Amino acid sequence: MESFLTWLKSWFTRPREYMNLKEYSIFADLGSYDLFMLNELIHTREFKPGETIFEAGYPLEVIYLIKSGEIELKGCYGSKLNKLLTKGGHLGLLDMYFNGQRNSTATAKTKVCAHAISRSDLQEFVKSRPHAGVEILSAINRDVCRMIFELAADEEHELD
Amino acid sequence: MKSMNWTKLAFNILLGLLAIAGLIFYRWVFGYLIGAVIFTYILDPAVSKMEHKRIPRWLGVVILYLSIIGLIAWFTSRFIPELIAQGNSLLSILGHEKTMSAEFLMQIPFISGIYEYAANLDAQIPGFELTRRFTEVLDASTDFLARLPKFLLDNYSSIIGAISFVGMIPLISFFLLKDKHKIRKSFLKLSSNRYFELAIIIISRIDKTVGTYMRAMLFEVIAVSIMASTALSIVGVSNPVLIGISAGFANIIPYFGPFFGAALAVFTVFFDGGPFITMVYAALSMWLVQVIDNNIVYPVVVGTTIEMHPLLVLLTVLAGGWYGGILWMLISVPLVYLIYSVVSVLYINLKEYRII
Repeated sequence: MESFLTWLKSWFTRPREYMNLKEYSIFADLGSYDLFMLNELIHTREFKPGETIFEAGYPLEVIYLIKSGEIELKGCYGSKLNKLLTKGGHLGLLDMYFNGQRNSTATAKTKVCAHAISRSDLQEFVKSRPHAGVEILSAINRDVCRMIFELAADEEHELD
Repeated sequence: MKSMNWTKLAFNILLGLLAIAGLIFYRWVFGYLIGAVIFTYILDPAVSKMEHKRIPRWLGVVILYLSIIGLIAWFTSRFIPELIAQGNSLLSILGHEKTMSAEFLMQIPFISGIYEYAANLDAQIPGFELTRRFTEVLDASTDFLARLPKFLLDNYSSIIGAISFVGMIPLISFFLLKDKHKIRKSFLKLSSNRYFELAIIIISRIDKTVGTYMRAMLFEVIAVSIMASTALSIVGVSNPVLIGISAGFANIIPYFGPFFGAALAVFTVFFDGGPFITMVYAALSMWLVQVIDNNIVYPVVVGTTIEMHPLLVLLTVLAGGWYGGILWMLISVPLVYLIYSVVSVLYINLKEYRII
Protein backbone atom coordinates (compact mmCIF):
# COMPACT_ATOMS: atom_id res chain seq x y z
CA MET A 1 0.00 0.00 0.00
CA GLU A 2 2.81 2.39 0.97
CA SER A 3 4.72 1.74 -2.26
CA PHE A 4 1.49 2.32 -4.21
CA LEU A 5 1.05 5.66 -2.46
CA THR A 6 4.69 6.61 -3.17
CA TRP A 7 4.17 5.71 -6.82
CA LEU A 8 0.96 7.76 -6.92
CA LYS A 9 2.69 10.68 -5.21
CA SER A 10 5.47 10.59 -7.81
CA TRP A 11 2.85 11.43 -10.44
CA PHE A 12 2.14 14.77 -8.80
CA THR A 13 5.56 15.77 -7.47
CA ARG A 14 8.61 16.42 -9.56
CA PRO A 15 11.75 14.51 -8.54
CA ARG A 16 13.95 16.86 -6.53
CA GLU A 17 17.33 15.56 -7.60
CA TYR A 18 19.03 18.62 -6.28
CA MET A 19 18.30 17.51 -2.69
CA ASN A 20 20.85 14.72 -3.24
CA LEU A 21 23.57 17.39 -3.13
CA LYS A 22 23.06 17.46 0.65
CA GLU A 23 25.05 14.21 0.73
CA TYR A 24 28.21 16.25 0.20
CA SER A 25 29.58 17.68 3.44
CA ILE A 26 30.26 21.11 1.91
CA PHE A 27 26.64 21.51 0.78
CA ALA A 28 25.00 19.79 3.77
CA ASP A 29 23.80 23.00 5.42
CA LEU A 30 22.36 24.68 2.33
CA GLY A 31 18.65 25.38 1.92
CA SER A 32 16.55 23.81 -0.83
CA TYR A 33 16.57 26.85 -3.13
CA ASP A 34 20.35 27.20 -2.78
CA LEU A 35 20.68 23.54 -3.71
CA PHE A 36 18.32 24.02 -6.67
CA MET A 37 20.45 26.94 -7.93
CA LEU A 38 23.65 24.99 -7.36
CA ASN A 39 22.29 21.97 -9.20
CA GLU A 40 21.90 24.14 -12.32
CA LEU A 41 25.68 24.62 -12.31
CA ILE A 42 26.66 21.02 -11.66
CA HIS A 43 27.73 18.54 -14.37
CA THR A 44 27.86 14.77 -14.09
CA ARG A 45 31.00 12.98 -15.30
CA GLU A 46 31.86 9.29 -15.41
CA PHE A 47 35.38 7.82 -15.33
CA LYS A 48 36.53 4.30 -16.18
CA PRO A 49 38.78 2.37 -13.77
CA GLY A 50 42.41 3.47 -14.31
CA GLU A 51 41.43 6.70 -16.10
CA THR A 52 43.44 9.78 -15.10
CA ILE A 53 41.12 12.55 -13.95
CA PHE A 54 43.85 15.20 -13.75
CA GLU A 55 47.59 15.46 -13.28
CA ALA A 56 49.70 17.53 -10.88
CA GLY A 57 50.58 20.88 -12.45
CA TYR A 58 47.39 21.19 -14.52
CA PRO A 59 45.42 24.44 -14.19
CA LEU A 60 42.52 24.09 -11.77
CA GLU A 61 39.06 24.95 -13.03
CA VAL A 62 36.80 22.14 -11.88
CA ILE A 63 36.00 20.84 -8.41
CA TYR A 64 34.90 17.20 -8.37
CA LEU A 65 32.54 15.69 -5.81
CA ILE A 66 32.49 11.89 -5.73
CA LYS A 67 29.00 10.47 -6.17
CA SER A 68 30.15 6.85 -6.36
CA GLY A 69 33.39 4.91 -6.78
CA GLU A 70 36.95 5.40 -5.54
CA ILE A 71 39.64 7.87 -6.61
CA GLU A 72 43.32 7.65 -5.73
CA LEU A 73 45.16 10.93 -5.12
CA LYS A 74 48.93 10.73 -5.57
CA GLY A 75 51.12 13.40 -3.96
CA CYS A 76 48.31 14.61 -1.75
CA TYR A 77 48.66 18.00 0.06
CA GLY A 78 52.10 18.61 -1.51
CA SER A 79 53.63 15.51 0.15
CA LYS A 80 54.38 12.01 -1.10
CA LEU A 81 51.21 10.86 0.63
CA ASN A 82 48.61 8.89 -1.32
CA LYS A 83 44.98 9.13 -0.35
CA LEU A 84 41.91 7.18 -1.34
CA LEU A 85 38.77 9.24 -1.73
CA THR A 86 35.33 7.65 -1.72
CA LYS A 87 31.68 8.71 -1.93
CA GLY A 88 31.12 12.22 -0.59
CA GLY A 89 34.79 13.26 -0.97
CA HIS A 90 35.85 16.29 -2.95
CA LEU A 91 38.86 17.11 -5.14
CA GLY A 92 40.25 20.52 -5.95
CA LEU A 93 38.66 22.64 -3.25
CA LEU A 94 41.80 22.95 -1.11
CA ASP A 95 44.05 23.45 -4.17
CA MET A 96 41.74 26.25 -5.24
CA TYR A 97 42.47 28.13 -2.01
CA PHE A 98 46.17 27.13 -2.07
CA ASN A 99 47.70 28.09 -5.43
CA GLY A 100 45.00 27.61 -8.05
CA GLN A 101 46.59 24.62 -9.74
CA ARG A 102 46.45 20.86 -9.29
CA ASN A 103 48.96 19.71 -6.67
CA SER A 104 48.25 15.98 -7.01
CA THR A 105 47.38 13.42 -9.65
CA ALA A 106 43.93 11.80 -9.45
CA THR A 107 43.16 8.39 -10.96
CA ALA A 108 39.90 6.45 -10.85
CA LYS A 109 40.43 3.17 -8.96
CA THR A 110 36.99 1.85 -9.79
CA LYS A 111 34.22 3.09 -12.04
CA VAL A 112 33.57 6.61 -10.79
CA CYS A 113 30.59 8.89 -11.11
CA ALA A 114 31.37 12.44 -10.03
CA HIS A 115 29.63 15.78 -9.87
CA ALA A 116 31.70 18.62 -11.29
CA ILE A 117 31.38 22.33 -10.70
CA SER A 118 33.42 25.05 -12.30
CA ARG A 119 35.47 27.20 -9.93
CA SER A 120 34.23 30.41 -11.55
CA ASP A 121 30.60 29.20 -11.33
CA LEU A 122 31.04 28.37 -7.64
CA GLN A 123 32.62 31.76 -6.96
CA GLU A 124 29.81 33.49 -8.85
CA PHE A 125 27.24 31.48 -6.86
CA VAL A 126 28.89 32.45 -3.56
CA LYS A 127 29.03 36.09 -4.64
CA SER A 128 25.35 36.21 -5.52
CA ARG A 129 24.20 34.15 -2.50
CA PRO A 130 26.49 35.25 0.37
CA HIS A 131 24.54 33.39 3.08
CA ALA A 132 25.10 30.14 1.14
CA GLY A 133 28.78 31.13 0.79
CA VAL A 134 29.09 31.38 4.59
CA GLU A 135 27.58 27.88 4.99
CA ILE A 136 29.95 26.44 2.37
CA LEU A 137 32.95 28.16 3.97
CA SER A 138 32.02 26.79 7.42
CA ALA A 139 31.72 23.31 5.94
CA ILE A 140 35.12 23.64 4.23
CA ASN A 141 36.62 24.73 7.58
CA ARG A 142 35.15 21.65 9.24
CA ASP A 143 36.69 19.46 6.52
CA VAL A 144 40.09 21.15 6.84
CA CYS A 145 40.05 20.69 10.64
CA ARG A 146 39.13 17.04 10.25
CA MET A 147 41.94 16.63 7.70
CA ILE A 148 44.50 18.23 10.06
CA PHE A 149 43.46 15.93 12.89
CA GLU A 150 43.66 12.92 10.58
CA LEU A 151 47.15 13.91 9.41
CA ALA A 152 48.28 14.45 13.02
CA ALA A 153 46.91 11.05 13.99
CA ASP A 154 48.72 9.43 11.05
CA GLU A 155 51.98 11.11 12.07
CA GLU A 156 51.54 9.98 15.68
CA HIS A 157 50.83 6.47 14.48
CA GLU A 158 54.06 6.50 12.41
CA LEU A 159 56.11 7.77 15.41
CA ASP A 160 54.75 4.98 17.61
CA MET B 1 49.63 -2.65 -32.13
CA LYS B 2 46.17 -1.52 -31.22
CA SER B 3 43.57 -2.85 -33.67
CA MET B 4 41.35 -0.37 -35.50
CA ASN B 5 37.82 -0.07 -34.08
CA TRP B 6 35.87 -0.05 -37.38
CA THR B 7 32.47 0.37 -35.73
CA LYS B 8 33.69 3.46 -33.88
CA LEU B 9 35.24 4.86 -37.05
CA ALA B 10 32.03 4.26 -39.04
CA PHE B 11 29.98 5.92 -36.29
CA ASN B 12 32.32 8.95 -36.22
CA ILE B 13 32.10 9.29 -40.03
CA LEU B 14 28.30 9.11 -39.81
CA LEU B 15 28.35 11.72 -37.05
CA GLY B 16 30.60 13.97 -39.16
CA LEU B 17 28.31 13.63 -42.19
CA LEU B 18 25.28 14.45 -40.03
CA ALA B 19 27.07 17.51 -38.65
CA ILE B 20 27.87 18.74 -42.21
CA ALA B 21 24.27 18.09 -43.33
CA GLY B 22 23.04 19.97 -40.24
CA LEU B 23 25.32 22.93 -40.99
CA ILE B 24 24.04 23.10 -44.59
CA PHE B 25 20.40 22.75 -43.54
CA TYR B 26 20.58 25.34 -40.76
CA ARG B 27 22.97 27.79 -42.49
CA TRP B 28 20.15 30.32 -43.08
CA VAL B 29 19.45 30.68 -39.38
CA PHE B 30 23.04 31.29 -38.22
CA GLY B 31 22.58 35.04 -38.54
CA TYR B 32 19.45 34.90 -36.35
CA LEU B 33 21.26 32.70 -33.86
CA ILE B 34 24.23 35.05 -33.54
CA GLY B 35 21.87 37.99 -33.06
CA ALA B 36 19.89 36.06 -30.44
CA VAL B 37 23.09 35.08 -28.61
CA ILE B 38 24.17 38.74 -28.44
CA PHE B 39 20.70 39.73 -27.18
CA THR B 40 20.85 36.91 -24.63
CA TYR B 41 24.25 38.05 -23.35
CA ILE B 42 22.88 41.56 -22.81
CA LEU B 43 19.77 40.42 -20.92
CA ASP B 44 21.16 37.45 -19.00
CA PRO B 45 22.44 39.32 -15.89
CA ALA B 46 18.96 40.75 -15.27
CA VAL B 47 17.29 37.33 -15.67
CA SER B 48 19.91 35.69 -13.42
CA LYS B 49 19.42 38.39 -10.79
CA MET B 50 15.67 37.70 -10.79
CA GLU B 51 16.38 33.98 -10.57
CA HIS B 52 18.38 34.59 -7.41
CA LYS B 53 15.30 36.38 -6.04
CA ARG B 54 13.36 33.13 -6.59
CA ILE B 55 11.67 34.26 -9.81
CA PRO B 56 11.75 31.37 -12.33
CA ARG B 57 13.82 32.12 -15.43
CA TRP B 58 10.84 31.93 -17.83
CA LEU B 59 8.95 34.48 -15.73
CA GLY B 60 12.05 36.66 -15.47
CA VAL B 61 12.35 36.72 -19.27
CA VAL B 62 8.64 37.59 -19.64
CA ILE B 63 8.96 40.44 -17.10
CA LEU B 64 12.07 41.75 -18.88
CA TYR B 65 10.45 41.55 -22.33
CA LEU B 66 7.36 43.42 -21.09
CA SER B 67 9.61 46.11 -19.57
CA ILE B 68 11.55 46.45 -22.85
CA ILE B 69 8.32 46.64 -24.88
CA GLY B 70 7.10 49.38 -22.51
CA LEU B 71 10.37 51.26 -22.89
CA ILE B 72 10.29 50.97 -26.69
CA ALA B 73 6.66 52.14 -26.76
CA TRP B 74 7.55 55.16 -24.62
CA PHE B 75 10.64 55.94 -26.74
CA THR B 76 8.66 55.54 -29.98
CA SER B 77 5.86 57.85 -28.91
CA ARG B 78 8.28 60.38 -27.44
CA PHE B 79 11.18 60.47 -29.91
CA ILE B 80 10.41 58.70 -33.23
CA PRO B 81 8.35 61.51 -34.86
CA GLU B 82 11.11 63.95 -33.89
CA LEU B 83 13.81 61.57 -35.18
CA ILE B 84 12.03 61.08 -38.53
CA ALA B 85 11.75 64.84 -38.92
CA GLN B 86 15.44 65.25 -38.06
CA GLY B 87 16.38 62.42 -40.47
CA ASN B 88 14.49 64.06 -43.34
CA SER B 89 16.02 67.41 -42.50
CA LEU B 90 19.55 65.95 -42.35
CA LEU B 91 19.10 64.11 -45.66
CA SER B 92 17.76 67.25 -47.32
CA ILE B 93 20.76 69.21 -46.01
CA LEU B 94 23.33 66.62 -47.10
CA GLY B 95 21.56 64.92 -49.96
CA HIS B 96 19.59 67.19 -52.29
CA GLU B 97 21.09 67.43 -55.81
CA LYS B 98 20.42 71.19 -55.93
CA THR B 99 22.05 71.86 -52.61
CA MET B 100 25.13 70.01 -53.73
CA SER B 101 25.95 72.39 -56.55
CA ALA B 102 28.93 74.75 -56.29
CA GLU B 103 26.50 77.69 -56.69
CA PHE B 104 24.61 76.61 -53.58
CA LEU B 105 27.84 76.30 -51.63
CA MET B 106 28.76 79.85 -52.68
CA GLN B 107 25.70 81.05 -50.74
CA ILE B 108 27.18 79.69 -47.51
CA PRO B 109 28.65 82.69 -45.65
CA PHE B 110 31.90 80.91 -44.73
CA ILE B 111 32.50 79.77 -48.36
CA SER B 112 31.48 83.08 -49.90
CA GLY B 113 33.93 84.83 -47.52
CA ILE B 114 36.78 82.65 -48.79
CA TYR B 115 35.63 83.18 -52.40
CA GLU B 116 35.62 86.97 -51.98
CA TYR B 117 39.09 86.82 -50.43
CA ALA B 118 40.33 84.72 -53.42
CA ALA B 119 38.72 87.15 -55.88
CA ASN B 120 40.54 90.08 -54.15
CA LEU B 121 43.83 88.19 -54.49
CA ASP B 122 43.08 87.50 -58.18
CA ALA B 123 42.46 91.20 -58.76
CA GLN B 124 45.77 92.11 -57.15
CA ILE B 125 47.88 89.32 -58.70
CA PRO B 126 47.18 88.92 -62.45
CA GLY B 127 47.13 85.32 -63.76
CA PHE B 128 46.86 83.81 -60.25
CA GLU B 129 43.39 82.30 -61.05
CA LEU B 130 42.69 81.36 -57.45
CA THR B 131 38.91 81.68 -57.87
CA ARG B 132 38.94 79.19 -60.80
CA ARG B 133 40.96 76.68 -58.75
CA PHE B 134 38.67 77.24 -55.76
CA THR B 135 35.57 76.57 -57.91
CA GLU B 136 37.20 73.38 -59.25
CA VAL B 137 37.85 72.13 -55.69
CA LEU B 138 34.25 72.95 -54.77
CA ASP B 139 32.96 71.03 -57.81
CA ALA B 140 35.08 67.98 -56.95
CA SER B 141 33.87 68.10 -53.31
CA THR B 142 30.21 68.45 -54.27
CA ASP B 143 30.60 65.52 -56.66
CA PHE B 144 31.83 63.34 -53.81
CA LEU B 145 29.22 64.61 -51.34
CA ALA B 146 26.41 64.13 -53.88
CA ARG B 147 27.27 60.43 -54.01
CA LEU B 148 27.33 60.13 -50.20
CA PRO B 149 23.54 60.18 -49.54
CA LYS B 150 23.00 57.54 -52.25
CA PHE B 151 25.51 55.35 -50.46
CA LEU B 152 23.67 55.95 -47.19
CA LEU B 153 20.26 55.31 -48.79
CA ASP B 154 21.52 52.09 -50.40
CA ASN B 155 22.58 50.88 -46.99
CA TYR B 156 19.32 51.98 -45.40
CA SER B 157 17.58 49.20 -47.34
CA SER B 158 19.85 46.66 -45.68
CA ILE B 159 19.16 48.36 -42.34
CA ILE B 160 15.42 47.92 -42.95
CA GLY B 161 16.15 44.25 -43.75
CA ALA B 162 17.97 44.06 -40.44
CA ILE B 163 14.88 45.41 -38.65
CA SER B 164 12.78 42.45 -39.84
CA PHE B 165 15.63 40.18 -38.79
CA VAL B 166 15.51 41.80 -35.36
CA GLY B 167 11.86 40.72 -34.92
CA MET B 168 12.87 37.05 -34.86
CA ILE B 169 15.69 37.48 -32.37
CA PRO B 170 13.67 37.93 -29.13
CA LEU B 171 11.81 34.70 -29.84
CA ILE B 172 15.02 32.65 -30.15
CA SER B 173 16.52 34.58 -27.26
CA PHE B 174 13.57 33.63 -25.01
CA PHE B 175 14.55 29.96 -25.19
CA LEU B 176 18.27 30.69 -24.86
CA LEU B 177 17.62 32.72 -21.71
CA LYS B 178 15.10 30.31 -20.20
CA ASP B 179 17.18 27.17 -20.77
CA LYS B 180 20.64 28.71 -20.35
CA HIS B 181 21.82 26.13 -17.80
CA LYS B 182 20.40 23.17 -19.74
CA ILE B 183 22.02 24.33 -23.01
CA ARG B 184 25.37 24.85 -21.28
CA LYS B 185 25.19 21.42 -19.65
CA SER B 186 24.28 19.75 -22.96
CA PHE B 187 27.25 21.38 -24.71
CA LEU B 188 29.67 20.31 -21.99
CA LYS B 189 28.27 16.79 -21.99
CA LEU B 190 29.60 16.41 -25.54
CA SER B 191 33.20 16.92 -24.42
CA SER B 192 35.35 13.97 -23.38
CA ASN B 193 36.79 13.81 -19.85
CA ARG B 194 40.20 14.87 -21.19
CA TYR B 195 38.86 18.12 -22.63
CA PHE B 196 36.11 18.78 -20.06
CA GLU B 197 38.03 21.30 -17.92
CA LEU B 198 39.40 23.01 -21.01
CA ALA B 199 35.87 23.27 -22.46
CA ILE B 200 34.64 24.83 -19.21
CA ILE B 201 37.52 27.36 -19.23
CA ILE B 202 36.80 28.32 -22.85
CA ILE B 203 33.04 28.67 -22.28
CA SER B 204 33.61 30.70 -19.10
CA ARG B 205 36.04 32.99 -20.92
CA ILE B 206 33.69 33.46 -23.88
CA ASP B 207 30.84 34.12 -21.43
CA LYS B 208 32.88 36.70 -19.59
CA THR B 209 34.53 38.42 -22.57
CA VAL B 210 31.53 38.47 -24.91
CA GLY B 211 28.98 39.20 -22.18
CA THR B 212 30.96 42.03 -20.61
CA TYR B 213 31.89 43.49 -23.99
CA MET B 214 28.35 43.42 -25.39
CA ARG B 215 26.81 45.00 -22.31
CA ALA B 216 29.60 47.58 -22.10
CA MET B 217 29.19 48.43 -25.78
CA LEU B 218 25.43 48.92 -25.40
CA PHE B 219 25.93 51.13 -22.35
CA GLU B 220 28.58 53.16 -24.16
CA VAL B 221 26.37 53.66 -27.24
CA ILE B 222 23.56 54.94 -25.00
CA ALA B 223 25.91 57.15 -22.92
CA VAL B 224 27.65 58.72 -25.95
CA SER B 225 24.30 59.22 -27.75
CA ILE B 226 22.83 61.07 -24.77
CA MET B 227 25.97 63.15 -24.12
CA ALA B 228 26.45 64.05 -27.81
CA SER B 229 22.75 64.95 -28.30
CA THR B 230 22.81 67.17 -25.21
CA ALA B 231 26.12 68.85 -26.14
CA LEU B 232 25.07 69.50 -29.75
CA SER B 233 21.69 70.91 -28.76
CA ILE B 234 23.45 73.24 -26.28
CA VAL B 235 25.80 74.64 -28.98
CA GLY B 236 22.88 75.03 -31.38
CA VAL B 237 23.53 72.36 -34.03
CA SER B 238 20.37 71.34 -35.92
CA ASN B 239 19.16 67.68 -35.67
CA PRO B 240 21.14 67.04 -32.47
CA VAL B 241 19.36 63.80 -31.46
CA LEU B 242 19.93 62.06 -34.80
CA ILE B 243 23.57 63.16 -34.98
CA GLY B 244 24.06 62.15 -31.33
CA ILE B 245 22.62 58.67 -31.93
CA SER B 246 24.74 58.25 -35.10
CA ALA B 247 27.83 59.32 -33.12
CA GLY B 248 26.92 56.82 -30.38
CA PHE B 249 26.77 53.92 -32.84
CA ALA B 250 29.88 55.04 -34.73
CA ASN B 251 31.71 55.07 -31.40
CA ILE B 252 31.73 51.25 -31.52
CA ILE B 253 34.64 51.54 -33.98
CA PRO B 254 37.70 52.46 -31.90
CA TYR B 255 39.93 55.38 -32.98
CA PHE B 256 37.96 56.24 -36.16
CA GLY B 257 34.33 56.09 -35.01
CA PRO B 258 34.51 59.27 -32.91
CA PHE B 259 35.75 61.23 -35.96
CA PHE B 260 32.65 60.21 -37.88
CA GLY B 261 30.36 61.70 -35.20
CA ALA B 262 32.34 64.93 -35.07
CA ALA B 263 32.52 65.19 -38.89
CA LEU B 264 28.75 64.65 -39.19
CA ALA B 265 28.10 67.45 -36.69
CA VAL B 266 30.54 69.87 -38.36
CA PHE B 267 29.26 69.12 -41.91
CA THR B 268 25.66 69.60 -40.79
CA VAL B 269 26.49 73.09 -39.51
CA PHE B 270 28.52 73.76 -42.67
CA PHE B 271 25.77 72.80 -45.13
CA ASP B 272 23.13 74.41 -42.97
CA GLY B 273 24.90 77.70 -43.55
CA GLY B 274 25.80 78.12 -39.89
CA PRO B 275 28.62 80.44 -38.78
CA PHE B 276 32.18 79.17 -38.56
CA ILE B 277 32.21 79.53 -34.77
CA THR B 278 29.32 77.03 -34.45
CA MET B 279 31.41 74.50 -36.42
CA VAL B 280 34.21 75.02 -33.91
CA TYR B 281 31.76 74.65 -31.00
CA ALA B 282 30.32 71.47 -32.56
CA ALA B 283 33.81 69.97 -32.96
CA LEU B 284 34.77 71.02 -29.41
CA SER B 285 31.60 69.59 -27.89
CA MET B 286 32.15 66.25 -29.67
CA TRP B 287 35.75 66.28 -28.44
CA LEU B 288 34.51 66.93 -24.89
CA VAL B 289 32.12 63.97 -25.20
CA GLN B 290 35.07 61.80 -26.26
CA VAL B 291 37.17 63.00 -23.32
CA ILE B 292 34.38 62.07 -20.88
CA ASP B 293 33.81 58.76 -22.66
CA ASN B 294 37.50 57.77 -22.79
CA ASN B 295 38.34 58.82 -19.25
CA ILE B 296 35.18 58.04 -17.28
CA VAL B 297 32.61 55.90 -19.14
CA TYR B 298 34.88 53.42 -20.94
CA PRO B 299 37.32 52.67 -18.07
CA VAL B 300 34.47 52.23 -15.59
CA VAL B 301 32.23 50.15 -17.83
CA VAL B 302 34.68 48.04 -19.82
CA GLY B 303 37.73 48.25 -17.56
CA THR B 304 40.30 47.83 -20.30
CA THR B 305 40.41 49.17 -23.82
CA ILE B 306 40.68 47.06 -26.94
CA GLU B 307 44.41 46.58 -27.32
CA MET B 308 44.64 46.64 -31.11
CA HIS B 309 47.03 48.67 -33.20
CA PRO B 310 45.28 51.60 -34.98
CA LEU B 311 46.50 50.28 -38.36
CA LEU B 312 44.93 46.88 -37.66
CA VAL B 313 41.71 48.64 -36.61
CA LEU B 314 41.71 50.64 -39.87
CA LEU B 315 42.33 47.53 -42.00
CA THR B 316 39.65 45.58 -40.09
CA VAL B 317 37.09 48.36 -40.55
CA LEU B 318 37.89 48.58 -44.29
CA ALA B 319 37.69 44.80 -44.71
CA GLY B 320 34.39 44.78 -42.77
CA GLY B 321 33.02 47.53 -45.03
CA TRP B 322 33.97 45.63 -48.19
CA TYR B 323 32.54 42.41 -46.81
CA GLY B 324 29.16 43.57 -45.56
CA GLY B 325 28.65 47.34 -45.55
CA ILE B 326 28.00 49.60 -42.57
CA LEU B 327 26.81 46.81 -40.24
CA TRP B 328 30.03 44.85 -40.70
CA MET B 329 32.11 48.02 -40.33
CA LEU B 330 30.57 48.36 -36.87
CA ILE B 331 30.93 44.74 -35.76
CA SER B 332 34.22 43.75 -37.42
CA VAL B 333 36.56 45.26 -34.79
CA PRO B 334 34.82 43.74 -31.72
CA LEU B 335 34.46 40.44 -33.60
CA VAL B 336 38.17 40.26 -34.47
CA TYR B 337 39.05 41.23 -30.89
CA LEU B 338 36.79 38.53 -29.42
CA ILE B 339 38.14 35.85 -31.76
CA TYR B 340 41.68 36.88 -30.85
CA SER B 341 40.88 36.67 -27.09
CA VAL B 342 39.33 33.21 -27.40
CA VAL B 343 42.16 31.84 -29.57
CA SER B 344 44.80 33.17 -27.15
CA VAL B 345 42.99 31.57 -24.16
CA LEU B 346 42.71 28.33 -26.12
CA TYR B 347 46.42 28.36 -26.99
CA ILE B 348 47.56 29.09 -23.40
CA ASN B 349 45.34 26.36 -21.92
CA LEU B 350 46.17 23.74 -24.57
CA LYS B 351 49.82 24.31 -23.60
CA GLU B 352 49.08 24.14 -19.85
CA TYR B 353 47.07 20.92 -20.21
CA ARG B 354 49.97 19.53 -22.29
CA ILE B 355 47.65 18.83 -25.22
CA ILE B 356 49.88 20.66 -27.73
